[in-house]
Amino acid sequence: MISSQMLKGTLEGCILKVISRKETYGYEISESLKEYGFADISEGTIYPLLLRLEKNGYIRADYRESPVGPRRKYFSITAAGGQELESFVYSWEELKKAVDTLFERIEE
Amino acid sequence: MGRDMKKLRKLNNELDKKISSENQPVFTDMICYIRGASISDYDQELVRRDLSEMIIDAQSRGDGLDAVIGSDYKGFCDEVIGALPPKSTKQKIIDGADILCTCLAILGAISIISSGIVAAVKTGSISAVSIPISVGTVVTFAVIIIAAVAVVEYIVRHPFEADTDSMKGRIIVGIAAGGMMAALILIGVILRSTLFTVNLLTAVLVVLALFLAHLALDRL
Repeated sequence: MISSQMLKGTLEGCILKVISRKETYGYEISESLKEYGFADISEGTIYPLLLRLEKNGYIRADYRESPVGPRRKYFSITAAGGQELESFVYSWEELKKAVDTLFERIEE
Repeated sequence: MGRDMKKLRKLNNELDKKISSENQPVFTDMICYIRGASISDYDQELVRRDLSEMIIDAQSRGDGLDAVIGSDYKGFCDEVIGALPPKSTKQKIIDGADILCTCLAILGAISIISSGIVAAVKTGSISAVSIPISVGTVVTFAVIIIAAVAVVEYIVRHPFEADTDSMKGRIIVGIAAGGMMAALILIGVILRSTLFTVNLLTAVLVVLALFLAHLALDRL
């Protein structure tokens, strides 16, 4: 299980990535994250992050009737969200490289 | 209250009815806690809609509330509140003024009915009746408003720790309410010196103006 402290900084970027793939809703995002190995991520865990992303203008929300169930809030990524995702990917690559290098060199 | 807000509140009231009796107590506690947060009324209603739909969706899948939100309801609400912009100082002042106008309008209306109307019926004339405002009236009004705000603040800040169902909780609430009533009666009896008198018609107009001020502030 990934610690919540470690998750905090990275989950927003991962959510943006999931939303960038296709328009989706909270429960589907949490299920996607679980499929990728983020265990114990419920809809409630990501809801405050979705609110923050929406307030910052990185995602757009739209309430619509679902074809198979009740009304749902569908999220899509905005242009600002796309830039934020690029920035996250760059930061993540930098962090990953630094951590990998540190572990490799110390093991040597 | 704007048209969007009214529409949203109406929709939320409809959604509330779809929440199962099993989930209703926790949902009510969460909304109660969010009501006490320093976020705009509109954001509160938006969160209420999101939570309602999240819970209704979970119910349709056969999931419990814990599967959606976890067991730390307060922690979840704190995360939600933290993700939203806090109320501006201007909005806080408007809200405070709204509460004051509402409370004064209600207390004023009670005073008019309890003393003014009775006197008007006795004398048979409305214009000749004056309502005496004593030191006790002013102090009683202030104590009632402060106590009402304090009680509401306590309730909205501690919904997850509510203990009113237990015997101990009921005794504490009973003693506090009884003590409060006794103190108010005592204040009314001791501080009887009249500060000024207000004509009944003027008092009615003041109460009406306070109520209209509340309606105007509520729209801001």
